[in-house]
Amino acid sequence: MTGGADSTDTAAEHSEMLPLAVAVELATAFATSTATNLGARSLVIKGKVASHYGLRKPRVSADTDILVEPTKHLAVVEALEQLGWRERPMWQASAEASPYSTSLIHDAWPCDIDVHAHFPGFLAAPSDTFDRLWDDRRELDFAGVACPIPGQVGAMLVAALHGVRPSGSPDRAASELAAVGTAIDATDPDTRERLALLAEATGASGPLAPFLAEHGVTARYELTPELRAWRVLTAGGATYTGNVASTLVGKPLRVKLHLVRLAAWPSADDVRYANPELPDRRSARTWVRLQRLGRGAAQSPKAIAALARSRNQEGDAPHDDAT
Amino acid sequence: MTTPLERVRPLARVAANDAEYVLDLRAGSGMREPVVLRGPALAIWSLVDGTRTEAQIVDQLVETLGAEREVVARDTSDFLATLRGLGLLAAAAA
Repeated sequence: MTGGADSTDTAAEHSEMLPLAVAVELATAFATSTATNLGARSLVIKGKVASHYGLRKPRVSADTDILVEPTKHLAVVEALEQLGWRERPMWQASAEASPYSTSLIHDAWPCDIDVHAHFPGFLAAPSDTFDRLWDDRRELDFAGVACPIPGQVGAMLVAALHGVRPSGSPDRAASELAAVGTAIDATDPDTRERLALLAEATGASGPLAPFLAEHGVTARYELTPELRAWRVLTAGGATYTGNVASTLVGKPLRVKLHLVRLAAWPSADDVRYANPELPDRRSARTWVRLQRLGRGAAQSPKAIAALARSRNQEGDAPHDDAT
Repeated sequence: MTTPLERVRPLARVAANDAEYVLDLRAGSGMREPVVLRGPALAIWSLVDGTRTEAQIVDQLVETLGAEREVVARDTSDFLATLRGLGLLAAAAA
């Protein structure tokens, strides 16, 4: 327009690759609206929400996370799939081992949308947990849209559970957990009481018992099979083997064998998904499987020890409090 | 031309890098990725605020840019048609 008849001056482009920070803001509003349009309640968690409450330093996330009321999780995922998003390929055993979260990707977007039906470490029934977090919700602006987020103590629990769970970056997890601890230390007694009550109601009090106690928050918990599975997961370390081991707790033998077989010797489709650059030859896939088997064997002693400890704890009496 | 132009709602909008990234969040909009507006496109879009008609937007742009009215009017009309095609203008204005 300024140059006269150049029609490209007023072009509205679709093709430009989105900056990551912009994409995460838009994707958050997009995912929340998609859920709302379906009548599904959702809460944005982690990322900017944690920064908003001073639970971590502001930084650009690589994805956006929304926690959807569990009964609507599949409907929200399907609605996003109809809009061009697709599930991030992952090992079949891993997908079966993590049924509560779906990572979605899109060719035109540089970020993932992680749709959670449940957040690991909240050991109460997923619907009960969601309802408790929803009851204390607030709103935070994403791309000009007011999106529901957990309240302060709910966000603290999410951040703490994220921090105590093994991750690919132990240093970052430790740093983030320390930030949550500092934030808890700075709260008043009423807030700590609300934190304890919400931890108990959502079943986060067991997984977070040592952490909460360290920061002067006393919350009751019982040693349930879910808590034992959690302890196996966290004791197994940030490994795939540890993740698989945690899913074996309390499962029938048939299911255990199925998961172990998938983990040990994945299907050709799984190998292709996880290694898209791999030549489509049987020898190449076999080499990947053998490498994987070697890594799994190296990680197994820790996971097996955690499983054994879990079995030894089965006869333990319930714990009345975190201390 | 005599009806004030208005954007659809809800929209997700992020301003960055001298551009605005816009995504239609309405159910059934079908928009799968954001539209990127910058330069004159962003100038026109910024004036679509529910109070200005197309003629008033052209007046404002002529005053701001100092360009010929005929050129501004044609480009504005073309771009508003693009916005209508994208479904970003409210039905009453379209």
